Amino acid sequence: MDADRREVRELNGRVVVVTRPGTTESVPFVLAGVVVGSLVLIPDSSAARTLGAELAEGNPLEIAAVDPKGRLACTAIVQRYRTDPHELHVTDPGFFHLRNDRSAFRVAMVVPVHLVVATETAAESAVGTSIDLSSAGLLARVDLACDPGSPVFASIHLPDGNLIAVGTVVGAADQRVRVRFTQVDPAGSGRLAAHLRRAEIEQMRTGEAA
Amino acid sequence: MSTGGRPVQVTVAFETSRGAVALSASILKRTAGGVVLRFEPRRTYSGAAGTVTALLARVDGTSHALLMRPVDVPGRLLPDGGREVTFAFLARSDATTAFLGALGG
Repeated sequence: MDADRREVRELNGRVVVVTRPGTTESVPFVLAGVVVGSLVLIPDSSAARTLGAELAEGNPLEIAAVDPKGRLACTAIVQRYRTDPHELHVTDPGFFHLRNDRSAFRVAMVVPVHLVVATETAAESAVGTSIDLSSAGLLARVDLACDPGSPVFASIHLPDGNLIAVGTVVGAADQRVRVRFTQVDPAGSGRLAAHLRRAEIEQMRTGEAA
Repeated sequence: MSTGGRPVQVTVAFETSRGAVALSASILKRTAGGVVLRFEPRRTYSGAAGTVTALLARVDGTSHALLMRPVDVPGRLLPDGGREVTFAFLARSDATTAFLGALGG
């Protein structure tokens, strides 16, 4: 499998956006699953009204989803649409193309991280592991009480030594904390770039996208 | 230094051979390219010269996160047993300008 292709089953239960090609009009659906060559999408009532005639059999639709790794998209053809219950079946292209339009490519990298977050009243500190990492930030599995917007210190234990960075918490839920770096220790940024590049090449070689 | 009559409290974090350390400190004054921090007795800064150190702060609701290095460790011993340590920011940036501006003075 190419590095820019993702199994659609990863997105089951996720909200996806359906757009008629050539337009900017997008409506939300939930991807319910894959049934014998079809993607099954469940729209809400407003989605059905908005698309209306576009749901006719044979029409092409753009389907896109945003997940933590980037924007995923594919083109599919309407097979049928029924209203009781509301259900849209489209051709299953077998994959979503990964359109990673982020400024920094994220790679899956599991290394120990130590985060310190300053709250309004005190500092919270915890050790965890990274889930993914880029030159612009990281996602860590760590038990740390914090709110988006909190300033954060990150000590990332790369195989060839620690990397120090500071930034802002941009998301925290279910023992996962996402950090956007605002400054990386310049002494370590070159090592980080080298690790990311190696990991990216390895993922492309093995076909495992981050 | 103070905002609204209260000393500006910050968190200082840095890496040691035994892992990351977080300390609270208060800002005594700003310098052209850094700050002078006051650490409480028994919670003084233990980083070596040149240790890359994070300053985390919320000033008037705005978050600040900056990297700096100590320039005079172990710093000056204060009468109450605390220590005064001067730090220089690693780089001048919009973030340092915003932080120093938030401190006023």
